[in-house]
Amino acid sequence: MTVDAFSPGYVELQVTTNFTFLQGAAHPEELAAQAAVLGHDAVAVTDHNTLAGVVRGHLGAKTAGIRVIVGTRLNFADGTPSLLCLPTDLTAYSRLSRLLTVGKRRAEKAQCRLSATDLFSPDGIFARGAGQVLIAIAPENPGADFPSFLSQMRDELESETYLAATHLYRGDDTRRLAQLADIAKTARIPLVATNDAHYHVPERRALADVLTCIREHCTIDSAGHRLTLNAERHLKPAAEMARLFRDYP
Amino acid sequence: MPAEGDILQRLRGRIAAIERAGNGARADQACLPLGVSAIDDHLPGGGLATSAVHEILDGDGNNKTKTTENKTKYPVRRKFGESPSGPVTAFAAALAGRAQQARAAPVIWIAPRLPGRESLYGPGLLSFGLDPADLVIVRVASDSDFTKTALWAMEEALRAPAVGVVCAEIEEMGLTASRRLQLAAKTGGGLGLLLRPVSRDASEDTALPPNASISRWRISALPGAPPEAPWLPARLPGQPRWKAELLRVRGGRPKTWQLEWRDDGHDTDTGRNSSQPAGGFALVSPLRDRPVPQKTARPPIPHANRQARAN
Amino acid sequence: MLAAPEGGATRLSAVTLTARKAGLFPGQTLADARALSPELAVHDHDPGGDAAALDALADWCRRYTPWAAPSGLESGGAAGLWLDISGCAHLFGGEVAMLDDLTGRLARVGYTVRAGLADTTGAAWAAARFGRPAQAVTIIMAEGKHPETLAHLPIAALRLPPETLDGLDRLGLRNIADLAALPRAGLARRFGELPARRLDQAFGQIDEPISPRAPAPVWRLRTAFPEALGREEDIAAAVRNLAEALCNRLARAEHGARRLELCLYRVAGRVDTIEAGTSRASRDPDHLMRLLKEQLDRLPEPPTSAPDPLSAAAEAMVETLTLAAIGTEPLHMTQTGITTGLPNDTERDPDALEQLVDRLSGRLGANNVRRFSARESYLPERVQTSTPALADKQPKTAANTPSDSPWKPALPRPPRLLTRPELVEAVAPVPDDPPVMFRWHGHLHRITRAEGPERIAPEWWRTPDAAAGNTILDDDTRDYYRVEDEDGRRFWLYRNGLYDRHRNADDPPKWYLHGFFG
Repeated sequence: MTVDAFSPGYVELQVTTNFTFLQGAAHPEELAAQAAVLGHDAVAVTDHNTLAGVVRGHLGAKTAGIRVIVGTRLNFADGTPSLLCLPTDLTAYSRLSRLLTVGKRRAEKAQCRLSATDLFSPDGIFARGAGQVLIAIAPENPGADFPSFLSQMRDELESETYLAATHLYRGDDTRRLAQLADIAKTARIPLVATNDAHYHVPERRALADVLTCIREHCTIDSAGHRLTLNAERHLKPAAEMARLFRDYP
Repeated sequence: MPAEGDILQRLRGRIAAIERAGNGARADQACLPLGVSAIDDHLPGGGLATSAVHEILDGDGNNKTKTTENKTKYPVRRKFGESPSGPVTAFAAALAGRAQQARAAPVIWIAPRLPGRESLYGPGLLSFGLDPADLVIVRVASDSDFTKTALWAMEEALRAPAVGVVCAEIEEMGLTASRRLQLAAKTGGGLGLLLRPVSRDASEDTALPPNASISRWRISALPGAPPEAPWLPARLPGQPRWKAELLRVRGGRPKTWQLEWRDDGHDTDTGRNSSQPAGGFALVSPLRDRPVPQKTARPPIPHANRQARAN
Repeated sequence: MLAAPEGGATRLSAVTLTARKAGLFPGQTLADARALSPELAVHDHDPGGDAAALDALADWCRRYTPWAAPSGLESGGAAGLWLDISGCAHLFGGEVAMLDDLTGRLARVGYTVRAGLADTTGAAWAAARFGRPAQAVTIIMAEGKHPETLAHLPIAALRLPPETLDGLDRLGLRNIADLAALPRAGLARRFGELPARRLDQAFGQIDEPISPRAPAPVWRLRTAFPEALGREEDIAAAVRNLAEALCNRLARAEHGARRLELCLYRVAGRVDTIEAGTSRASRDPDHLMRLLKEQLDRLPEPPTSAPDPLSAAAEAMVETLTLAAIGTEPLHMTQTGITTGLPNDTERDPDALEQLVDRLSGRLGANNVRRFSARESYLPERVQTSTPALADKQPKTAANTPSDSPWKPALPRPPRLLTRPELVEAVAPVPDDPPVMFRWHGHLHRITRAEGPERIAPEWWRTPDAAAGNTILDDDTRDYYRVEDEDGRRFWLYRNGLYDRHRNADDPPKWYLHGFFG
């Protein structure tokens, strides 16, 4: 079913809703409705270490007449690069939710603690990635071990593995995309375009900034670089995404 | 990446400079190496003499390599805001930054006050190694008294032993005034850099009135390097390059180099900064311009890591 | 005689003593006055000039006491000056001698002075204006018998506004005794609490401090010269003596000066005031002297009305000097360093830079000697601010650059930034590819290399006008490009506004040049 997501019609696969506490700046329903307006035939809901948003996302998608792609963004406590995990069947889904439950039990209230061991250990909870679509998210400055991490994902996890590429108008996007493309080529995994959406329309940037301030316990004037540079993290039409990634078909 | 030998040489140069300075040696023997052995070896004393004033001219008005037609394209250099060009600013900032680090002393920058015009920008200066937090800006009203007042300020600053470098954007300069500056620099021990925003017409060097500066440079922009990593699109800008002409130097011969700014602190592949401070000068190597695409040139994937993580 | 237009007719604002005798009074129309005395000399009233003159006079009077303040017209009656001479009079040989000196000096430079001396402010005010008319100086030393002593003075002597005076006059009250006899409660109901307060103040029943024109400094030294000084060297030597004495006093109290004020009282009554600031507390007489000397040498020639150069020089001579540390900070013994003067001295004197900053600030103005500071912002022009170096109490010392410093740009930034970005004509593929060429100041730059866009959105929580000194008026989302032309010149361009989101197709977003790369 997710295979459709990579066909010419674009689907946003990296979506943070307001079910990620103080990060996402839109309801899953709003995101689903906007995705339908833009002509996407599905929208993903990938909150951080939680599946809490998928039910509302599902309802919203149903109303909007599109599909929802259920998933989670896995953030690790030990510096392992984040992953989007999109289960394709019920077993894969239940293994993902078990992983999250265990992670939550380890940590304080409303937190979830995961490490690389959870991901890679053959007899661990995750029990390898069979049935999952995994999309790695490159860190800000991909170190020398990032390509090896990708190779390890590809080789050890029995799942479809991709590398997410974003074009967020940060100035160095051309450079960064070229670098990611090179890494992906080296690690022999395909590149997939996402926009790391945090809200459905650009007008929500202000709300996202306010959430950042609450999260970071700072005032808007002192928040500095923790705020968003621009208002580009919204859902974008397929043509726009195709233009941004035209060098990487 | 600079070769290991290069780094060693640079370190030796710096140690030597520190020793020269620390031993109470005569002030006029102390030098500020540029960190490029080809230039440092050419300069008497192994670098720019500190306790002295040097001149940096702006070459972008009349780049010698350009055709006459090009020359007339910039009839008035003043349009650039009467401030030194980017390359001159960067070159001076790089020299000042090196001195700032070597002497752990602040930098004074004297410039005309031009409301609404271009001004020094800290983040940009920092990328050439000059720490803006340790910089004192002196603004002199750009009226008829400008030259007199700016020279006074530069002399005062040079005379102060607490100051490492004094940069001054002064256009006009008489022989007597430049002698006074030289004397002040000898007293204070700092490095004086005169940035002369307008370099006059063609036979510039002879047209400029004689003065007592120890050396005279002219810096112009050169088309920059292509991006370093072979996989990057060639249309992206790479490291900045300048033509550095040493027009004259006391006790040495004129020479011209093609310089490149090697920003070690900037990961040239990603364009983002690593934690290291700024880099240094390097000669333009003709080899680097045409990188031979080789498979082995890429860092091999370290598989050792993978073993460790799997267990 | 002064006149000012008021309510359609030109009325007299102030009249001289002679004019008053001729029957003229303030408020009279100029036409009536001319009918009474055709030969009268009329000048335009200049309230601003009056206030400035009064301020200057207050400065001049600070030779006698630091507590000198103008008393404006707001207190009713003619404006004047307050001097609180408590504890100062003995320096001049007593209160009477001091008054004689003051009135004598002012008379010599052409003022007609009426002075009142009393042990309460109210009584002094009354004495100066309503004392015995024949005498320039009226002294009221009531010592607790104020009601009796002041009883015969008119109510106008109580500094009450004209409306109140009119009202009291209509009640038939003429002098202070009449007013004092009235029941306080009724008085307050009718005229507010002011008349009662003024009575109490005049009688010394409540304190009334005067607010001096300048805050009274603790550290003030004064020298008067029996023979006025004319030569610059002599003046400088005298200032130097004062500076040393001041530093000694500061040292005893373990204080150092942050601001100095030197006043030169010239024979002609003019006062020149020099202020100098230090970036760190100092009590080094050499340093302080250098700061003062820098400005002393550049004092403008005093304007003079003297007919010949000789008398002009005589008028410019200095009779009295005061030197004050008007701002001080605790400064302990160990902090005063000694300048070694050795070049390349690794143990450099930490004071040396501050001393240089002080000297530069002294001559160029503190506003022109600045340090940069940075804050985290995506907007390039918001990253850097500069403040006067003098005000900077903790100057940075060694060059240490933490990687997360707000100075450190995530992406390359130019070493020169235009304070006001300049409009350029650029040709670029829509919607957001880098420009292929741009024209600036009539010259076409063909772009060979480019990178971008870096999309920087406005800081939505700040209204564009709120930012002081924000010279970029049209605040929209900007797309920044780093470009290089065929000659290797590197520029920082931005497009103000996005094509696809721009409201009006006829008014496409404009391009600007914002900086020059190295």
